[in-house]
Amino acid sequence: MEAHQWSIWRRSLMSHFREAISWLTKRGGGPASRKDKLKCARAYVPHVFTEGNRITCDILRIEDLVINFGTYDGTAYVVDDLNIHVGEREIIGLVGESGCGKTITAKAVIGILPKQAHVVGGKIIFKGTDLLRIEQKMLHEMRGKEIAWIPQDPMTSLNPVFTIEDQMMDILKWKGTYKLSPISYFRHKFENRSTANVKVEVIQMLERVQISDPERVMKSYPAQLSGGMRQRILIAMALLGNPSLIIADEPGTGLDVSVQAEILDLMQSKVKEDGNSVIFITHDLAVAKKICDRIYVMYAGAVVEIADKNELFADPKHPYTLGLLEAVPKLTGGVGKSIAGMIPNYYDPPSGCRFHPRCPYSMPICTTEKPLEYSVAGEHQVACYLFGDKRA
Amino acid sequence: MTDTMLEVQGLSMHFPVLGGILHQKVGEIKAVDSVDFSLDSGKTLGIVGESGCGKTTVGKAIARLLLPTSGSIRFHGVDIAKLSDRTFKPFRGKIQMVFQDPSSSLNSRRRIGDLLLDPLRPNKIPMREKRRRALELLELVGLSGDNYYRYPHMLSGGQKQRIGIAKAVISNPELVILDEPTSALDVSIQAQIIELLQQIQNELQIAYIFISHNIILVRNVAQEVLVMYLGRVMEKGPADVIFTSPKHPYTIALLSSIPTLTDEEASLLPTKIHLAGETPPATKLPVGCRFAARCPFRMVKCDQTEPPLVEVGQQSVRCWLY
Repeated sequence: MEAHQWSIWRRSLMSHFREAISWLTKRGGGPASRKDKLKCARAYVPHVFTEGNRITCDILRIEDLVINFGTYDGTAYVVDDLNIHVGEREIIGLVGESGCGKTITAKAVIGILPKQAHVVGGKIIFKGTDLLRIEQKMLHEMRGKEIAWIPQDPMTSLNPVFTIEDQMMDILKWKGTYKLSPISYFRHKFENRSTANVKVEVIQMLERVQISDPERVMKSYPAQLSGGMRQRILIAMALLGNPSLIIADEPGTGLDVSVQAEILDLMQSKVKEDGNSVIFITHDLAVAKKICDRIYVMYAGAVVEIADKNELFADPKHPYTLGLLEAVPKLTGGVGKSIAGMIPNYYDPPSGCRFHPRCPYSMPICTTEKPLEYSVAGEHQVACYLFGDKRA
Repeated sequence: MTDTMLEVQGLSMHFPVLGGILHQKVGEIKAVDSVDFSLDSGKTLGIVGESGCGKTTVGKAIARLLLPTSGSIRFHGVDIAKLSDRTFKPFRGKIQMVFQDPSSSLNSRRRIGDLLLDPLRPNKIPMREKRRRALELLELVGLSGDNYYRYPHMLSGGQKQRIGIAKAVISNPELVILDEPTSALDVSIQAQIIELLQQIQNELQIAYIFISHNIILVRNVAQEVLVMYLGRVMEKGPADVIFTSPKHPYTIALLSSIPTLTDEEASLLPTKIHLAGETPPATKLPVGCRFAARCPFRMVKCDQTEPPLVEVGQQSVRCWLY
């Protein structure tokens, strides 16, 4: 047996042992993960930040996040020093090509990273709590109640064997419940006290997402509904817990243009009504322009440009943003120009600025040192040596 | 050299709905219902519409992956819908198709070279000649020759789609049906693929049928456009005319819902029309106009009889308003 195989086998054996021990000693259960090791009870960090002379009150702050993937081919350096902040009632957009780490970042926020992903460094501070350093149980309580997720694909994200009613009522009944005991489950099942109220709430929510016949829709199975309808239901489900932060992972991408436009309008209006903050992940710049307040352009696991949406489209700075904007086919004519080259290999990412092999303005310094985010105008920041600190 | 290469008349494609204990036909899905169009060689026809409106079925019927229920598909005057599989054989190489998802449309257990040579199999060409042709095509689509011995999983999505295109072009076709060739790819790669397709069209004078739901792309690629809704052609005409002055309410609604990047683009679009309700199921089609249930300009007449395709200027529109 080769050395690396042995180490994998040993690791899996150890995790089984740990699981068995924790089960025997009844300490919360579940396999001891990396997060448990990091556990420092609740790591409270002050909620209010000062930036210059301005005091901002951010709902979510991601600071210097680094995520690596341990795979059989080696370590993939996927997310590299990521900084994002989301203000209250703000819709921010994460824009970039597929495979640039948008979804991984969002998954790190609600703690559903795949097994092979390791958060190596950084903080994810949500309302003053570092989500990377709290217990699984507390994170679980936050999901659905504080942070909600709208998945990308409406066709596969609903359970096909339960009715919409069951699935939506489950959220209201059990949200934030960690490790439901059989006794409390059966008590709920037989007492049946709160069902009527819950049902009313579900109907109201379905009406809010403009489903014309909520009674019928509630009784139907996902397969009986159209894609647009299912996406509406997923939005309704995310809004049910009245969360302060919603993460929308390309909602409506698989749908038709007309349906997608409706879905976006709907989401925007509901979010404005409820005052939730939203992280909107998309690869379509036009969609981001329509819905977001502030846009983060991502490339290969790092943010390359941050700007207010009007500013970004009126005056894009980073060569990658320019390239992306040129690549979109225009109504005024032209099918767009592509960016030469490909997304880098994450096992051996380019040194310095990760965009430099594809960049038309590449300089010697770009190959050696990673650029910081330089402020161009107000909140418009660009991570490129063309706009500050040449380190000459 | 502009002769009518392809002429489609009254193309219908109905699928039976089976049900009951005996598994007999209980209904019919009219996926495509009397579609007419013609295409000259070297030109591009765009087909747009919602998913499930029969765009792909039209493409498959022309490539004879499906046999149409009725109607004729005349390819250089020969009705290929009436031919038997054996007599259709010489036409197979002339009509090729590029599929939507490059990752799942290439056999992952065979090498690129073998995949590329597949369409040449019926032609009795010496192997050396075939290999030379394959390498030539790899170069044409911008890939190096060492990809010949690779497997599909070793390539990226954009490269795989290039292989798909090379495979379609290798048998010197006159017509290539592009079924959403870029919808699985990123914007930055999409532009590369479209450039490649246009370059190939210029070099080899191939006609394209470009099926897509990306309307802006179709506007830039196609000369003629068909707008389909539930198996019917709702509007037909030159691309410039349809996009600058759309007539059918459905076309207007489709165009108005495109998200745009600049104000200049937004000013080109018609004012927003809100479509109420859902597409009716294809098994229970309305008696009158199929779009009536969602149309903002609905009249009594619309529910009773289906409007014919009438010519308005350069376009043909299926609507009682004209």
